[in-house]
Amino acid sequence: MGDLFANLYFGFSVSLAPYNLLACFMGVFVGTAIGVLPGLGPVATMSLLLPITIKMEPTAAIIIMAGVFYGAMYGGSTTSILLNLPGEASSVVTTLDGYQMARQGRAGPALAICAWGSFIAGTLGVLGITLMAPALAEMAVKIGPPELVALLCLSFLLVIQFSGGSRPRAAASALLGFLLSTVGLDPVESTPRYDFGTFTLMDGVGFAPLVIGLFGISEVLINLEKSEKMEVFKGRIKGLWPTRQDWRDSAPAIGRGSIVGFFMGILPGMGTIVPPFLSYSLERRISKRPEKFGTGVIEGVAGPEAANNSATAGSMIPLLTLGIAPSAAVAVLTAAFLTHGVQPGPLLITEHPAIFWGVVTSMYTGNALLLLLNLPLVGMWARLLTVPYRYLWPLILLFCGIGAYSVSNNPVDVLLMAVFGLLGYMMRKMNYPGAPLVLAFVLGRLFEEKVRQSLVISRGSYETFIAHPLALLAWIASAILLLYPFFLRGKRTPHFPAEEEE
Amino acid sequence: MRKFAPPAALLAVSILMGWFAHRLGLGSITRPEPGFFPFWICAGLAATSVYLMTRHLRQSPEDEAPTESESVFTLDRFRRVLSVMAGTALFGLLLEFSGFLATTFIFMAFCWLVIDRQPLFRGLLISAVASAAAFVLFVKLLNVHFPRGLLGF
Repeated sequence: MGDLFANLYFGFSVSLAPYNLLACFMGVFVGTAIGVLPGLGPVATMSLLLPITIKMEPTAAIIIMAGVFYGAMYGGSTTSILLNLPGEASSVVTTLDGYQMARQGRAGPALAICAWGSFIAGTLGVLGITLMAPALAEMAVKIGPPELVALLCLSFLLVIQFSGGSRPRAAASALLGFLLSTVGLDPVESTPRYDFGTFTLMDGVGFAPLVIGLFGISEVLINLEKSEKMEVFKGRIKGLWPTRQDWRDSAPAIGRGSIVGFFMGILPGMGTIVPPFLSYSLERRISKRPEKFGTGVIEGVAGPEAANNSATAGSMIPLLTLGIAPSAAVAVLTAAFLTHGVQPGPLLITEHPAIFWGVVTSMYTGNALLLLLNLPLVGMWARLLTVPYRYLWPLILLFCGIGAYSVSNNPVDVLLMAVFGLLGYMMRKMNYPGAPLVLAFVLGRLFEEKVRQSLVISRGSYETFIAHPLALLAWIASAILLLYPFFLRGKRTPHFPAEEEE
Repeated sequence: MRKFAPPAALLAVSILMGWFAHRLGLGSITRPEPGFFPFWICAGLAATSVYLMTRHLRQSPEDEAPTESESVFTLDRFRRVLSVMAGTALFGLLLEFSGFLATTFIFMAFCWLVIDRQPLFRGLLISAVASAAAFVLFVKLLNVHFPRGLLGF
């Protein structure tokens, strides 16, 4: 325990340094803004920031990126409540009761409970990271290549299972991501693959053009098709302090949402989309007035909002302890770590304690800053919604172009981004989820390297993959995941929106 | 047919890339070579594509009908998508030649005047303001390096 306090003290001394504090503020501010604005999600924004943060200190760069990630969860609820349009896919459920509350003149309490619920859940989630991550990282050090292969396989299957929509399409998307990750020099023998004689492709497909194209450009193309007629809540937002009854109704929902969100967030594929849905169903199931859900009950807002915020904290655990990204947004964070020459995973705490504890403690500060940003300034965020999209999309495209170019100062990356933008648009139109592609792309090289290492070490024996109990457990879980849809055939399964859906 | 096209394209990609991977050399289980991993990914992608194609072939024509959000090839949408793609490609192609400021101005003007059909004066004005603001933010404040181009900025 003494160690924990010493580490927290050290972490706060890093994250409260003026430069890092400014980075944290910038991150949560940008996160809230893009959460409020429907049309640019956290994945695309983080990818755009990736090249800009290259020149920053690694700790500040990761702090700013993480701030955008969890800040977007706060901002997403504002549009859900005032506009009946989720700013982020994770705030879809908030529209059900949040907008109804706004129509009944209770937009203030709805926004307030969102902000407070998000703050409490976000802080509890970070506390979860603080307590669990060091112990898990210590265990993860003992994981060898065959166990990592099994865990990565399980992660891919979870992502395919829960990315939303059809599983075969998600599998095709993941396989395409794997294939793209093999472009460039082979990780073991450095033989060029699929470079077609070009230097650009010899370095592999860039992460920034891929993600900015798939999520940023395609989002602009999709949004250009939508009508601009949005019904913005016109009344004055008042009562930004929930009543005692509101607190009494919401507190248990916030607690349950925090727990559900945190543990679901750890699982690959869940992202921040599934936990709010589960929290909402849980609240409705145990409520004494389930028939009122959807008509403006505050628990229907508090639970899901708490769940999506604690899920962001939960999803950091696999990254910080195993180096595995469980969602597309965390995959971008992985890229940020790698861009700064830092390998996320079990050795992060010992090799880069300033980054690990600095980033973790910055999340406490960030959550407090978000509360200050979201409650008193809610009117300003609401006004942001009145900016017509026709003025925004060329700027978003410009930022995308700058983001893709400035990673390696190569104009070919802008062309690649345009190609991936078209691919992303077609995938979204045809209901092929983009998140499995990005995750497979990020983890593909690691997967290949570990498979080949395992096979070489074991002289081609497949038994190496099941020799360790952890690996065996992961394979059994993978087999269950693969086979259970066949047993459920004909039964209704819930549908969650894909991570990049609005 | 509309839903049949994406898996058919994926199948074509997997066959082509699988062939390239085979040429790189597969090696053996004890000593996998550079083509080993991509080849088996292509095999998996081909199998998934064939599964998706057979599933779509079995679907009734009613299931095949696109929903509003799925429809892509209305002339207006297709034109807009192509225009945005062309604008973005133009940005990439012109950047080295005409430098950041001029390219940004041309790109913004293309978006606002050609794609969005804003009135000429307003389009030019907001393009000029936006490109100047982008220049100050990215080049002067964030110190991002861009080519200077023929005009020298």
